[in-house]
Amino acid sequence: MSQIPPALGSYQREGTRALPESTPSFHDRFVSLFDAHFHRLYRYLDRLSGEPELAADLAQEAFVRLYRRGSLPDAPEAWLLSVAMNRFRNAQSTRSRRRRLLTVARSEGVLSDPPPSPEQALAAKDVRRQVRATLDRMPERERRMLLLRAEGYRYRDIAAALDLNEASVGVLLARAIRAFRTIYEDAGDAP
Amino acid sequence: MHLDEEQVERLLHRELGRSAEASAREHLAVCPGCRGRVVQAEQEEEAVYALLRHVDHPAPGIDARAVVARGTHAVGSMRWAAGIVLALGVAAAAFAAPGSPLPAWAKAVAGWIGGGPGVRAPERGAAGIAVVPGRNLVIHFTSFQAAGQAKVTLTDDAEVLVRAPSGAATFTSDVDRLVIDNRGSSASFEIQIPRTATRVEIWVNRVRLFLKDGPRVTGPSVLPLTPPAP
Repeated sequence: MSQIPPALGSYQREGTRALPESTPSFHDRFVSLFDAHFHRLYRYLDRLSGEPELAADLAQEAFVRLYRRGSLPDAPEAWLLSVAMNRFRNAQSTRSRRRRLLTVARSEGVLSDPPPSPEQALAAKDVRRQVRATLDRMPERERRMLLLRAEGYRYRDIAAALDLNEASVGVLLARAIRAFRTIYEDAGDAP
Repeated sequence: MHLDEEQVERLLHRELGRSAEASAREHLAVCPGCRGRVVQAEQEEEAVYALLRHVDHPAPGIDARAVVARGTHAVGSMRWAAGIVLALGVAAAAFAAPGSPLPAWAKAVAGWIGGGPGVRAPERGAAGIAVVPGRNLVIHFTSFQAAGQAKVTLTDDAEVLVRAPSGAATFTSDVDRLVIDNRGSSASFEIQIPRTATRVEIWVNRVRLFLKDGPRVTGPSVLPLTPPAP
């Protein structure tokens, strides 16, 4: 049995939650946070999962939960990532392989700006497929680290999200970049 | 002294402190080798980020108002649910009170409607709370009790759920801790922990009785809330 740390003591909200309507400053801060961070949370989850609908649901759900919480945590970005990743893991564990394959096939058909020629369209499709395959083959931690940094998350948030020592995030990021390049180039060489 | 890999990355990402960054830039001014490494790291990173953009999909048209509406609706629903639970609790208390005519009335009505042998007493409303566990969640019972226990089960849900079927506790929570004020209570509790939770600890007063660290669980599934034997 061990002793509880004395720091345990100050808590921010009651189980019966404070209603957001009574705290307009929270509302304003929430909207600012949403405007600044929703899209990058979505993009991170989209790249991680390859499923835009799932990514949109997870990102939205994380913000809904934050709003229902009625107050902002000390590190809201890390909090949002944590909530979204818990949901993502849960969704992953209940999804069938069949659905994943269907989604990959569908996502390959998404083109925001159609290239001017069939050759370019084909090349873009190949690159997209190769990048997706590279991400899927990367070790989980390196993939998440690379995608988080690509969205501009700070080292402290990356360390919190991945349970890492913040002092070594830079070296690990460099490794993640190298891993991506190696796997991507190997995939390009494959017949 | 040349820049190490951590310093190169931190310089690129503006994660060095102000004085460390100034020192690093002074060094870069006189060291073409380190300057080349920084430029190379930047180019490699940008090349990878450019590739990543190929798998992006158009951003969804969701704005803050829609999310606030959902959050508000959920809060409204919770109010209704709380009201219903309260009403059920009051009804159950009235039903179970000594000398209450309600059981007899209910039995009579049930017999009249269905001709059955009797009516089951409704369950009392249960107090409880559900939280997302995050990376490390501490569940803290503030006090030992004269009687009672906490039963711990692992689930496939995403949230930690703590219930007091007899409803005698106050719950307080934050992102990484959940506090159950059980002073003077003799209630028993049910605690459900997601198997996917990274780390969950359960403390009673100042004693840790349970730890789930990844897949490893240390502690019994039924935790005594009574003080340990001297």
